Formats: sequence, C-alpha cells, structure tokens
Amino acid sequence: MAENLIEVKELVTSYGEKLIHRGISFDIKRGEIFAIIGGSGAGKSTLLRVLLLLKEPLKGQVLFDGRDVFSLNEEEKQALRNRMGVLFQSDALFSSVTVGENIIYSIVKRKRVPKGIACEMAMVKIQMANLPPEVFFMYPSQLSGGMKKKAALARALALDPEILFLDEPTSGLDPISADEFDKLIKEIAGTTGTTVVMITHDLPSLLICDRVAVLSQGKLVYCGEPMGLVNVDDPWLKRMVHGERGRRFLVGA
Amino acid sequence: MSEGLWKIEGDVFFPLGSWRLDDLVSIGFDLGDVPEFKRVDLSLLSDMDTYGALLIADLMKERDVGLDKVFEPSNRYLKLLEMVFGRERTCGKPQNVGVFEQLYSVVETTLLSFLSFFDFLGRLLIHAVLHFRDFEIRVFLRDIETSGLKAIPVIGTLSFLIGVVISYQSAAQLARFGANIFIVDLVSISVVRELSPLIVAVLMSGRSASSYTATIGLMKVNDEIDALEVMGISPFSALVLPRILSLTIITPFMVVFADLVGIFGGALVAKFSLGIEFSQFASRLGGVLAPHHFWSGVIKAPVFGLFVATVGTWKGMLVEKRAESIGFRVIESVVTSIFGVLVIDAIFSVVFRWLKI
Repeated sequence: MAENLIEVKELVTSYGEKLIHRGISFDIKRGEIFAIIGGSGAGKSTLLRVLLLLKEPLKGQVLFDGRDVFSLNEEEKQALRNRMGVLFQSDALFSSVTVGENIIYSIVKRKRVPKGIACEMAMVKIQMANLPPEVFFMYPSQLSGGMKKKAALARALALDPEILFLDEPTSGLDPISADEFDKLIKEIAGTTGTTVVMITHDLPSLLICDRVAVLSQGKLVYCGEPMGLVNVDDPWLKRMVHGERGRRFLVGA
Repeated sequence: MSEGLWKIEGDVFFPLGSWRLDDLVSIGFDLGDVPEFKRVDLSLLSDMDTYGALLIADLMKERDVGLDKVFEPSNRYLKLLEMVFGRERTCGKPQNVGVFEQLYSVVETTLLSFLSFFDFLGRLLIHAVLHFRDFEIRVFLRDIETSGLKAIPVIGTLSFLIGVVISYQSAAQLARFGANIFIVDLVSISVVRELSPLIVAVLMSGRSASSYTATIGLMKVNDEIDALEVMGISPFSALVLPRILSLTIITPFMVVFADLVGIFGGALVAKFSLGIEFSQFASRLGGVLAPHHFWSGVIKAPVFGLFVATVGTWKGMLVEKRAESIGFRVIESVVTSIFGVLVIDAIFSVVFRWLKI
C-alpha cells in the first residue's frame, strides 16, 4: 500500500466563470489527521465536494490509491464512496427516526449485514462517539447540539470508513465541547487507524492535526506541520494566527 | 470458507487474514463452529475493523476469555478490541408494551390532542384581546389575496360545474313529468342552501388550512415562533389571528360568488336542454328563492371559514421538530377541517329545521 491515500494534482475548479482553485497540489497520507483551513469563500467546501466526488474539477487530478477518481465509472465511484464517512456541517441526521436507526440505516442498506449485528454495531459506534447508550432510542430533536454532532459522527463511522471527512466539526460548539470533540476525533483516529480530513476555521482544532493545508485566494499558501503556520507570509493567515483568537492557539501549543 | 478466517492450535485461537466488514459479509457473518479456546493470538491478523473486533469480542465473551489472554505483538488491534470489548452488551430493546397500555396511550394522545384545541382557543382569545396591537395587517391582507382572490378561479369553475351537473341530471327526469320549470327551484335552492357553502368550505380546507399548517409548522421548526415570543410579540396575534379573520371575512363573499356562478350554470343547461329562456328563469327565480334560503347559506359561511382557519393554525402550532411532523399535521388539518365542516353543516340543518327556515 502506498503511503499517500489521496493525491491532488494541479486542481483547478470553477463555478461558472469564477475560478475557485487556481492549481493546488497536496497529498494526504494514510492514517494522518489532515486539516484544510482558509477564510470564508477560500474554497474549502468546494475542495471537500471535489474530494467527495460531488463536483468535477476543470483541470487537474484527484488520485485515490494512485487512481484518478474522475475516470472511474459510477460503480467504482460508489465503491470508493463506501470507503468514506462524512460528517456534514449541519449534522444531517434523519430527524424522523432514532439515532440508532440513523446509524443502522447505512449499515443495513449498503452491506448485507444481519439486523442483529447492525444493531450491536450501532451501539458500539454510539459508545465510540462517547455517547451514553440510551441515546440509541432517542430522536435527534431530543439531543443537545454537541450530542447531535457526536451522533452524526457515530453515523459517519458506521461502516468503518478508511477516510473520514469532517466539515467544520466544532462549529456551533462551546470551547469545552469543541475541545472534547477534537480529543474524540484524535482518539478514534488512533484506535481505528482512520485517515481524517477536517475542514475548519477553529485554530485550536489544529493542535490535533498532523498536517495543515491553508487555502487563500484559490492557492495553497502552506501545507505542513501546524506549528509552521506562524512563519507563513500570507496576509490572511497573519491576521488569523496573530489576531485575538490566534493567541489561544499559540498559548495552547 | 469460514474456516479460512481462523485456526486453533492447542488452546490458542488465531484469527487469520483480513477481518474487515466486506470479508465478514462475504461469509454471512458465519464463522462456523469455533471450538473452545483459552487464549487469543492476533499476530496472524492482517487487517481488522470494528466488525471483526465485535466478532472476536463475542467469541471471547462466550468462552469467558478475558482481554489479558490476548497476545498481540504489534499492538495494532489491541486498542480497538479493548474498546469493543468494554462496551455495553445489548441494544436493550425497549420493553414490549401490552395491548392495554397501547390502547391507553392511544386514547390518551387522542384525548390530549382534542383538549389541546381548547387550550389553543383559550390562548387565542386572551392574546386577541390583550395583544391586539401585535395584529399583523400585512399577513391579513396577503391572506385575503392568497386565500380569497386567488381562489376565485377554482371556486368559480367548481360551482359552475356543480350547477351544470345538477340541472343536467335532473332535466331528463323533470321533462318526463313535464315539470320543466321546476328546474329553477331545484338548482337554486340546492346550490344556495347547501352546495356552494360546502364547496367553498371544502376548498378552503384543501387550500388554506393545509397552507396555514405548513407555514406555521415550518416557522415553529425554524424557531421563528419562539423568536417572536422573545421579541414580546404574540405569535397568536401576529400569525394566527390575521389568518382566522381573513378567512372568516372572505368565505361569505366566496359563497355569494359561488351561488351566482352555480345558478348561472344551471340556467345555461335549462336554456339548452329544457328550452327555458333566461328571462323565464329569472322571473321564476325571483319568486322561488326567498331571502331566507339565501341567508341560511351565507350565514354558514363565516362559521365554516372560522373553523377551517382555526383548525389549520392549531395544527400548525402542534408541529414538532421532525421532518415528517409537518406532513402528518397537514393531513390531520385537512381531514379534521373537512370532517368538522360536514358536522357543523349537519348541526345547521337541524337548527334551521327547528326554526322552520
């Protein structure tokens, strides 16, 4: 197995006339926690959509295990998606069924897993996400914001994804819950060996990451260790790291 | 096939190869008969996910083998196994409820939802009096437009067709008795007293009650109702009252309009299939259609409008934060308002009979 799970090469994307990414290249290594940061409108979410095969780039390649994903046929794409888990920004839990059924749903629908094992598995995932077992029978509307995030994480983990995408996992959480959530992600990545790709603009979250990519004006201005951010010469990044909110990040490190 | 996934040497259990979800699905989660073992050695495992860990943990628990009996030189899978091993066992199905309890809970929820109507009415009355300054004139006017003016084409078409059908069906029968002129009595009284108020009320249930429920329900899901309340604005005065008033005011006019169109439809058929001229029809109409017929139809209309709007807004307020809740409440609101309209109509008939109208 190659060391790089995902390789992005000279990616150019656009919405209509407007260029979002002007040729960015980076790779994500197997088993690492990789963060993508950038200001609003820097193209983080678009990049995530490309990585999830939801949007085709204008130019450039995205390689999974060394294979260009946009040359795959539908069946192969689906097989690839089965290896991914996604935690959407707005939870996206199905509100009309219980948390347990939310998790079981993809297990039973996508793989031929007997209901009993799927049920046991959902319970394991709920506890992996640090939720009390009774959450299994609760509806999403009965949970607090932090618990909903964890429930959504449990659902994203349902099929033991090789790669877990998190879209602003700590947005809307208080600092303590956010720290807990970060710790939880690190713990899960450590136990299961899952590769985590996280989009964030919460600087303290970067402390759990192995590497960070910074998007600014459609370009990749930095890709490397989180601590190296301090020395990067980019106006947006400077304001971010050395501003009021960045101080917490520097102190935490 | 399943034997390829494990082997036993002495009292040691060796999982072999890859224990990932796909591998386990391909054997149907059936490991075959695994004999007794006292220790586990994970060194021959090439891959394992939580599903594999779950199966191994289950085997170990069945045989009372503790985690300390697991040998794993690379420490790759031990953490995962530990986590799965330490979990709470069952999904613990919620206790089965008996038939009696189920019946009780059905009766209870039905009763409570019935009672919540009076709760709603009470709040509505109090808020209408105490918070009348929050009344939203824009909602009121917009609703006059959407529930009233925009309903004119469909109400007109339906009443016209009702008038045509009634007189067309009866024309043949009346002609057999040579009682052609009685078509006027038949069409005018049935349309004016019963059919147009009912048609208007049923259409209002389908168009307006459902839209009230969905609109207010979505606002409830979006926390907009709470936002209003926090701003010190009564949602009853701002959202519910304007809709109830507009529908109550607009329905009598709709009924009068439906009366006119319905009778016109009847007159058309009378002319072309029974040869009764419009002038003949009109003079007979003046003699037959006494004011009390007209008023007994029109007087029902605001009551229908009030009821339909109240049910629609009430069901909207009952919406919970679940995707299917809005759909469910819209169904309830349309069914309840049509059902209620027919019951109220029956009560009116009995009362009118008593009063000899």
